[in-house]
This record gives sequence, structure tokens and C-alpha cells, in this order.
Amino acid sequence: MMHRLAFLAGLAGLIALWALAARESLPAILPGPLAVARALGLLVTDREFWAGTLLPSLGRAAAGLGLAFALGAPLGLAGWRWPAISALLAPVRLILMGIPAPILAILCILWFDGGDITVVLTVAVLLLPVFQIAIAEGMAAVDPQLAEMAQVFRVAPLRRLHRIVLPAVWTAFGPALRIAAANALRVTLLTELLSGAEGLGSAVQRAQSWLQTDQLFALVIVILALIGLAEAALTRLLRERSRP
Amino acid sequence: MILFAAEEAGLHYPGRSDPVFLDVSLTIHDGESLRLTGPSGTGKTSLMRLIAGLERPTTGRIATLPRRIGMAFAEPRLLPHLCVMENLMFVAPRADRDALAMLEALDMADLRNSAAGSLSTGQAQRVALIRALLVRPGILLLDEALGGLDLPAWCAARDLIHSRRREDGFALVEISHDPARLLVPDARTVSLA
Repeated sequence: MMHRLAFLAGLAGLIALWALAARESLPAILPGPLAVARALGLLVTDREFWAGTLLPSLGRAAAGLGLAFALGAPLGLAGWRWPAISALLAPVRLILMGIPAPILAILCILWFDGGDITVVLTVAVLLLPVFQIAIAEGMAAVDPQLAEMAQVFRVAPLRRLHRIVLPAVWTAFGPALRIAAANALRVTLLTELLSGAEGLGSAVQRAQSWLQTDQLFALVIVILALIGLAEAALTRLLRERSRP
Repeated sequence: MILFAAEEAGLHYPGRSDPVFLDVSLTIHDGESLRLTGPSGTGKTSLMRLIAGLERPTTGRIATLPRRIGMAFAEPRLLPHLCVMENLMFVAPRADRDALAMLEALDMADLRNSAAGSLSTGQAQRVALIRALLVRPGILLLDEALGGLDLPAWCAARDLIHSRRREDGFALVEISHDPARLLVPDARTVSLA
């Protein structure tokens, strides 16, 4: 309760400071909270925004996340089972983890069509190492004594997977998924912004080009809410899964 | 019927200069009782793991391996996030009545819904013993599995093993460092040196 009150007080203070600063500025430079609230209202009640802007972006982020998992999980498993494969993949992994997201997005835009495929691939390539490492670490966390016990008692593979392997994998995979989901949205926006593919990123770019700063702020609030929702949902899932 | 047969089996773990044991020939028959003895580090547990199929000999060969094995390890090896009954159902999903009867026999029925992680060592050891008996084994392997029990609890565990043995007729292989607490005092002894 105390924490929630402190959070709300912090938020109110921020909005008050913002309102004061906005009174001294031009609306095109810093719109006030009321103007942004109006723009946000218009945005979320516009069906075209949901169908033509928000959903395509979420779809690309989800597709990129899914592709990263589909490629990263088998590579993580292979690297855990055969360390030589992990060593073989290490240079590519180091490059992918070190390369700044905007650089990779620009390269993908150059090499592909600049549309859906570019965005999905950029997200997938950047998040692939996250899943690869998480799966390998999760598999390494499987208790060998419990695995032996299940082997001696000839426990069915699905039951072993459910009771021994997945809980161990989840200890590494859960936090990785939380980071990856938020990053999938961030990278999707970045790539859309750079490529012009229709979505939240290009909407941000348009608002900036036409000095519709109130709309730009409203879009930022939508983006923050999406990332916050994704993180909150995954945090809750993590908490429930870790409960005995 | 022969449950286990090893012919001149030897075991050498990678990275160790000496083999754990060499040229062990051993046959275990249905219903037989066996005790593995020897000083620490002579390979009693390793031989038991060989019988359980958890190790392969580096020399010699295993001609026969037991099919249905019940094993209680030196550590209970329970799934800590599951309750006692879930741990038992993990190895024998349809044996809930049998599991409850054995918990009652060891005066532990009240603990059936307790998380395994919250049990004392002695309680966890008894649950691990029930788990080993629950699969109706052809051979029961006990590796210092009852070492943490006080005398009344040990006697109850011994009685449960004997009553189940009368029903199922399984072979018994035991490692115990306490000569006063042997499940079958006149069991055939295999000494490793």
C-alpha cells in the first residue's frame, strides 16, 4: 500500500513538472498533459490505429519472438548436449549480442524487402542468442540426481519432462522470456521507424515529421503501456511457476 | 531366475588413476538377499549403480540387468516442489492406495500433502523407501538408505520391507555400515577391498 502511494505521488509529481514546463514551451516542442491525454483518447478510439498500426506491430514482434525461440531453443539444446557446437556458435553469438540493434536493423533493411520480413528477421536475429543461452543454462540446471532417479524408476519421458526438466529450464527461460518480450517490441518499433514499414514505429516517425508532438507523446505512452503489460504478465507467470 | 549377472566387470571413472573395482563376477537370483561390504571408497555404491544400470563396466560385461528396480539412494532424491503423494505418484501413477497404506504403516499419512522440501531427512528417507517399494520391484537396492532413522522408525521400515517382500518376493541388495541394523543379517555378503 505504502509503495503504491509513493508510486502514485511520484507519478503526480512528474505530471505536475511536465505541466509547468509545457506552459513555458510551444505545443509543438512540449505539449501539456491534457493535450497528450486528448491525443491518446483519439488514438485508442480510432479503429484504424488498432487494425493498421498496433496489430501489425504486435504481430511482427510476436512472429520475431516465435522465430527466435524456434531457432534458438534447438541450438541451445544442441550446445548443451554437445559443447563443441556451443563453441562453434560462440563467434556468431558474440557478434549478435554485441552489435547495436540499429546497425542490425539497417543491415536487414538493406538486405531484405524493408517490410514484414525485415522486421521479423531483425527481432529474431537479435533475440536468438537470448533463447539459445537460456535453454542451454536451463538444461544445465536439471538436477542430475533427480534425472538418475527417474531413469532407475523408468518414469515416462513426458512425466520426466513435466516434473524435472521443464521446472529447471524455466528458471533460466522465464527471466529470458521476460527480457525478450520487451525487447521484441522495442526492436520492432526501431526497425519500423527506420524502414517505414506500417506500424507503431512508422506512426512515431510520421508524428515527428509533422510536428504532431501530442500524438508522438500519446504513441510513447501506448508503447510504454505495451511493454509494461508484457513485463507484468510475464512477471506474474514467473511468480506463479516458482510457487511450490 | 537370474536378475543380474556381471562377468569380470571393472569400472574406471575418467580422470581417476585407479579403477574403482576390477574383475567382479556377480550373479543375483530372484528373491536373494545380498549385502555389499568393504571400506569406504572400495566401490560399493558404484557396484550398486552397475546393478541399477546407471553405470556401464569399462571392462568385462553385464550379461543380465534387472527389469523392475526399486532403489533408495543415500540421498532421498525427492522432487522438492512436489508433495509427498505427488512424489510417490511420480514413479507409480496408479498406486495411490498402496502409497497411502505404506505411509500409514510408517505413521506418515499426515504428511501426504506436505511439500517434500519441508520434510526432515528421516522423513524424506522413509518416503524414498516407499517410492522404491511402490513400483513392486524385482530387486530392491538400498544404498545406506535408512541410515538417518532412529530405532523405532528403522524397525517400522524394516517391517514394511519384510511384509512387502513376502508379497512381492523381490531380491534385496543392501549397503549398510551399521552391523546392528541389517535388514537380513544372514544375507550373502559381497566384500569389496
